[in-house]
Amino acid sequence: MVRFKSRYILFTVHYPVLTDIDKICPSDDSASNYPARFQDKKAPSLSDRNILPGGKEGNLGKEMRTLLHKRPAPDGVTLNAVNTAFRDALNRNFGDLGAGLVRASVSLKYFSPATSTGIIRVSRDHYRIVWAALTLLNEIAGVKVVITVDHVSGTMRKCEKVAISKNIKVVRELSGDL
Amino acid sequence: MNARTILSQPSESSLKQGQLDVGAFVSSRKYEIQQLSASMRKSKAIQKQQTFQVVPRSLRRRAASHHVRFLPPRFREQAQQEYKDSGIQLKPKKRRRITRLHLRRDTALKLKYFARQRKAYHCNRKRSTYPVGINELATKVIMERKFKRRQKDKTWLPTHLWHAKRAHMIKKWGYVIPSHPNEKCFRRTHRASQNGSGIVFDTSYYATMILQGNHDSVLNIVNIISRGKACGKTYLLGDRAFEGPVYNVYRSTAGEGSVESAFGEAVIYFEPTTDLEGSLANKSRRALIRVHPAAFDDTWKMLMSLVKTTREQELNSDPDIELQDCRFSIGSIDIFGPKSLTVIGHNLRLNVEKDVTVLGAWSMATLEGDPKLIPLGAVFPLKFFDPRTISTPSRDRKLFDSEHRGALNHTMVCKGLNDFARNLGSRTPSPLLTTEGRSIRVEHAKIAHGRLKQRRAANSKAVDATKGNQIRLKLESLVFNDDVSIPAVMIRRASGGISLLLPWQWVAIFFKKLVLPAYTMCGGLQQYHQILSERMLPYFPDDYPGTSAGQVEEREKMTQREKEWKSRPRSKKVIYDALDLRNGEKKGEVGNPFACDWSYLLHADARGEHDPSKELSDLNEPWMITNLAGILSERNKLRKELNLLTAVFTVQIIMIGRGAPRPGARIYAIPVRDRSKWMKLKWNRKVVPESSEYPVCPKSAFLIGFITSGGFNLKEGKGSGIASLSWAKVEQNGGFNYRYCVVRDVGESIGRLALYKPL
Repeated sequence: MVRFKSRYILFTVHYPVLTDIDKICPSDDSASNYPARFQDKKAPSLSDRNILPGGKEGNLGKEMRTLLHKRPAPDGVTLNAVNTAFRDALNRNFGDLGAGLVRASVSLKYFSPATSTGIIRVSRDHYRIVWAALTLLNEIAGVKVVITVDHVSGTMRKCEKVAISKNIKVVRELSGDL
Repeated sequence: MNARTILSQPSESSLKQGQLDVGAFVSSRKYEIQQLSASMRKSKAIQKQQTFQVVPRSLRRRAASHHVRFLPPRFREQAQQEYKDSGIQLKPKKRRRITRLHLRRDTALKLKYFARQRKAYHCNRKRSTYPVGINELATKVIMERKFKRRQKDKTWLPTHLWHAKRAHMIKKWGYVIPSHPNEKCFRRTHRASQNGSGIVFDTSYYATMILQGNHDSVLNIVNIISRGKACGKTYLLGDRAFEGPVYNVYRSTAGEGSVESAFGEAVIYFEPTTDLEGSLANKSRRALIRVHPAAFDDTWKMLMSLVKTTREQELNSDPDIELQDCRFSIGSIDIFGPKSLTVIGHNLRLNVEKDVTVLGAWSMATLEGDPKLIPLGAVFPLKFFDPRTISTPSRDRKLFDSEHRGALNHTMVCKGLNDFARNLGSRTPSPLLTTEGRSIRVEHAKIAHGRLKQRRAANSKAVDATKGNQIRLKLESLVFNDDVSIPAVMIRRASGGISLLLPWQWVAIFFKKLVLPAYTMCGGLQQYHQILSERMLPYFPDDYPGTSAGQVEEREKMTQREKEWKSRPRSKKVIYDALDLRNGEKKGEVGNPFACDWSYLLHADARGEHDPSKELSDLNEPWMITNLAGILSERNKLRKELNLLTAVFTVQIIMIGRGAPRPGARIYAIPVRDRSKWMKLKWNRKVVPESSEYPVCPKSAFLIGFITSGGFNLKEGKGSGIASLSWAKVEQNGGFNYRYCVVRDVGESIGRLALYKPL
């Protein structure tokens, strides 16, 4: 009996156009040691800036970039929205054949709006279609997005582990030590 | 599938009305980490099939798949549920219909049982302890009377029944000893003895003898058998136990061709006295002598004749001197591992006779105590309470957590040990050495279940009173009237482990308490051997070919190997006759391929020809050099006195590069002109045996010795072994300063470079 093999794709959603974040402020917890930039009472205000490299905000400090690159999802980008947009993208880019090939096996296992990270499961034979669809997906619920794939593996565990290690890195950068 | 969903936070938690809260951002990341980890754990848990797959491998039993009784208590409830769910037919407890016939039969059985008990009670009332032979060999003990017939020609250890269920037993030296546990445990043994919880052995097969008499005569005898080494001041005071060779008095006659023949290693412990001044000559003194059972017969005969001479000699005769054979009244448990002291301290209750400082010192010493901190040969005469009074031998894993290690450092532990030793009065003689001291009957000491409950209640009250201050001591804080004190002697051995000597009837009970918490491993002879090999120490009798016990062992192994070889089909075994060493000599293995062929080594002539009919007789058997340095420095003088042609000395072998030598491997000295070739191997890893640059094995004339134990050493990370080299051959072939040699396994054509180091 041949085993059914699948691939789990860990992806992050990026929002290249900032429309809804006006301020970045430190939390009320004064004991934590966040980088100096955020300790400022007068937090920097941002509006409608392009934070991709080359844009005006391309030379933000490392911590700012971390924050903005991995920002929480804006309103409207939820699990269901991602799901719908993704299937739509599949259909649009690969047609009925492509969508049909993967439809049975593809499922969005996890998506967190707080961290914009998600895990999709596909059968091993067609994961490239899904990967391509993710890459070509540029709008979710009216919000412009860029999706990068962080990790592809045969087990859910490994994707979870990679997600955890990325989170640890972020936390470490932004809060001194964990 | 509900369990598989991973919870996530909505983005509102960190992004509120256009404000990105950094703190909340960070915590949302942390939350995600938590949820992902939880998901991983849950998915693992869901996949688990049955409880008995969670049970550690050593506790798994086949019958547990349908019988809850065979699982450890903590799993039983869970398992019960699983069996019900999966519809397994549980075996109900058999219930007989009670009929009149049954009743009559039961009554008859009970009456017989009581009659037997009464008879035994009357018999035993006079003799309250296990047999000791005074000036004669002791009668052996039958362990379980139910199995009396099986013990006709062999002696069971006190823990036999426990071991028989968990280990493969062999019959050796008249005892039935566990050879190895049922599971494969090569790496497990290494871990247990090196970093882990420890490994426990029942070593009651070690023969114990007590020599009792006048101080002078006892001293004299010990002096003779140990060649003076066991009579130093610290030994006489009883502070330390001597561990070293016991010599055969009758073999080493002066004059030409004499031989320093040893029987084996012994532990000699003088019963402590506080004063060595004054006339001790006529004070009574005891010395405990422990020998391996393989060497027991010879040592006993020798000691008996010495005792006899002492009794009958004209000058300073000591008519009361006696040699007690305590083989079956003193048993022992050996523990290896960095946490041995902790295991002892935690699972056994020490009787400190209400001395709180000692108790404190003991806890300090055992909390972190590595037995390596105890000086070699240090002896602690201890008294324990019945370990069955401890309610739970703790499964407290926190004790074994590595985090705990930071808390106490070495100095504190050493201080604890020092205090302990000082205050315990290591100068007081242990009641273990007297018959009266050992005679605490197990049945008399047993405390009824209800009474145990009472004690526990009283204990917890006391703990509450101290507000749980010293939680570890809670079980030992109260001493009750029915607490019985069992004498024990704890010795730190040269091999790095601890020996705990106990009265024979208590060994099983103590053993179970030390092993029950399922993280202390229990081992057999093979594990003991492995631990000593890893530490590069010789194991008696395998590594002592210079003793008669070693020769006997070698012969047994040879017959065993030959038998196995003969029974295999021709295509599935190494054909030794066809072995081509490619060094110009005729084909075939050098010497007898099934053994360390000492007769070949010592009695072959220069051409390597050997007359196989010339067997090893008493006169030309190899004998072991115990003092290599001494002999080296005075070799010219001693050459006349000692027959160095058959002398043999023990070395440690460490491989350079690859290869793990097996017992029986041949060791060659490197001929001078080949030295550079072999040395190149040391630096150049690319030269592989298949290549043409690899040097050829030296000729059989360069044979200097054999490996007696060997294998891959997990501690060193490479192959290693213990070997014995022939003095004469080493001298002939390059001397004692050039320590490189070539080791070639039996049946292999490739030799490998190694380094030897004399012990």
